[in-house]
Amino acid sequence: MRKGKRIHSFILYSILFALFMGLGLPTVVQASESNAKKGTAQNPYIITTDITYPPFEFQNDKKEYVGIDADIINAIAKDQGFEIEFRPLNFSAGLQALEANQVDGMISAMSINPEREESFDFSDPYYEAGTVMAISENNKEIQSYDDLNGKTVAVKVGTTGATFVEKLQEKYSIKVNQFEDSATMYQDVVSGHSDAVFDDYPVMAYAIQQGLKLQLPLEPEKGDVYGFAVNKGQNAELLDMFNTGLANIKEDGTYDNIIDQYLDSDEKGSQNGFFALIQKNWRELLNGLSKTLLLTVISFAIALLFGVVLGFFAASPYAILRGISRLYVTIMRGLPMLVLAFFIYFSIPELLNIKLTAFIAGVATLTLSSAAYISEQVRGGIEAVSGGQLEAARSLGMSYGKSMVRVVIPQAIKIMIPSLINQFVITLKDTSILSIIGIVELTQAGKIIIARTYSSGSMWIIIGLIYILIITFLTWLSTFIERKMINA
Amino acid sequence: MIEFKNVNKYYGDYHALKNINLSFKKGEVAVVIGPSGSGKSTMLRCINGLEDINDGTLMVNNIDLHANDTNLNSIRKNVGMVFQHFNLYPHMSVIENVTLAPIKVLKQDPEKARQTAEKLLKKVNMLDRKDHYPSQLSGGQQQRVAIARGLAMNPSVLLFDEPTSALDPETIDDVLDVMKKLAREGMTMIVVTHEMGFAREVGDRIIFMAEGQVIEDRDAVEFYENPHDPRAKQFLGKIIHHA
Repeated sequence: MRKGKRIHSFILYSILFALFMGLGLPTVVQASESNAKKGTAQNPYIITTDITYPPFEFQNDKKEYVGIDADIINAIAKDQGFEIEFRPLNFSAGLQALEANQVDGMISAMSINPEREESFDFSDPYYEAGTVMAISENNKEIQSYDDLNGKTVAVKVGTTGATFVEKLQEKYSIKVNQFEDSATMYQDVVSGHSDAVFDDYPVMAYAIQQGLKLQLPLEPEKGDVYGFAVNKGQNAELLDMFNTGLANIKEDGTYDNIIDQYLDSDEKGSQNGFFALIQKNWRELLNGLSKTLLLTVISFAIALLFGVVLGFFAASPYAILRGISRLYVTIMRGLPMLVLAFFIYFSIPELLNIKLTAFIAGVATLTLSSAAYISEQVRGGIEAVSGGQLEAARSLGMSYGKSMVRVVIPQAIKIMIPSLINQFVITLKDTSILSIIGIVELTQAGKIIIARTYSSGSMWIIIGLIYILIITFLTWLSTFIERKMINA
Repeated sequence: MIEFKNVNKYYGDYHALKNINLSFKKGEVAVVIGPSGSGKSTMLRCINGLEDINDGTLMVNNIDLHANDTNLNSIRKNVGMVFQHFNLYPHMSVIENVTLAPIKVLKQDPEKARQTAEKLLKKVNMLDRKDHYPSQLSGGQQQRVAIARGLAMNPSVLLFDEPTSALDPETIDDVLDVMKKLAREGMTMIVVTHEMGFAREVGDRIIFMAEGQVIEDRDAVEFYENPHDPRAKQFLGKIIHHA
């Protein structure tokens, strides 16, 4: 068959669009990173912290980042007159972000050790803390490290506690459960999955003080020192200011006030009930939900455009277009979304030397992934319209494009709608994966609240119910719209 | 106006059309018959470019169909096609089915296209159903709409690919009556069919195909009364026996 001019331009635009999708976004972002002086309000230092690590860093009821780390860096920034912006990430993700120059500095209760000093430059130590073991409130069995033989221990990936347990494993038979954040790790012991947990003393002491049902049978190990880190050879100026500022706030008493505020408080926290949790945190949950919906709608809209183009490629009579589409779908279908998110957020900035916000990385992840599935649904829809329809239109002299637009697509859309609604719901649920790169959507909002309140039990029920409610509502809404469209 | 010269077509290793030489004149009604797999539908579909040929030349209205610079869309405007399964657009009403191509391809004014369509629907006795959807019509009714849809482009030739073989017996005659009316009005028609009554009544000639070849190409009545080839004899015996 011969192709008309219109088809050529259709293909050309499609390819341009695909290129824009691939290259356009990062370029736009790169352009916005101006060369203004670092540390000003326009171009603040980006500092990563672990959001779920009280008392060093956590969000308070007013959604501000507080804690020993957060307060210290804020006090130093004020003392030295520079501006910072927090980019909260899981501890191990924060390390990767720092290495990838995604952030300028990291203050995250990080022990200074020789391995880390190979990759990062550390400030003067700002806090001294040792690893300590905690067990369940009711546990009377474990009184020394010897009692850990044959037991299961929870640790957080990449922490000093984890290293300490590795050393213990040389002597004892210990099974290790690895976690990404403290709250989940503690919950593992409270709920009896693990027998003991190792974490930094101040963190654990603070959590127990807040009502966590754990106890500390032993004294802390000899202390590690915590330091503020920048990537090796980068941001020397920031490091100098940190050291000077630290000396200043120690001298004027600000430092002691901060530490006392979090560790010497006698106020004992109370465990939250189901409704008290909702009442106290509804604003955060609502914000998380709107972020989830925003991510879903933006990603799905772009994915729909992109997926329709790819779906047309897949159903087109041209082998090269079908090949492009098949290759794309094969790659995306073979890639777990978590890996894709890490690739976009960590690898792309490192490879291309650009910065991406977590939101853009998140949208890109959802878009690229959903587009692959949407394209398959579009292809399926087009192919489900009988070939006779295209032949009938074409044998009346209508071009391929016109035949598709007037005859095939209107029929294909009706076939596709149910599966597109399904894909929308899947995209909405997939947003929860993006909590891993620190986007505070609904799941991450839940994690943050848990980090502050140690109430995983009730909180995950609340989060689950919100997802079910919103998805049921949206499904009902789209079925309603679908029925209207089909009757029209 | 249509001329096949040494045309060959292959599907991979399968030789679907073997050295076809045929020509069709304006105003002629040619009936193509033959057992299934004989290549008759393939031959028909080549005429409006739904199938490409592998070698030989195929001229339609003095345009070489196989040449690289041929715009198939402009040929198809003049070559209407009626399919076995009608292929009406299910999401459009009868009148919309008929007017779509005239408006989109011939750029006719929608009002003028509608008037023409109504005239044609009247001709095929479907005017009273013009606002119905295909799913509300019987097979025979759908096929008559499909004929009106083909006529709406005012083609110089109308191709019929087994137009009655998917129909209930009681609706076949309505479709054949319309086709006979067209034939008598002088429409150029090439009809692949097993309806020997139709062939005898309005066919100018019968082309018998078997195994991708044209075996006989003669006057309709003559062929019917005295087929030469044993395969034609056998075939005729079968379909008349079944009729």
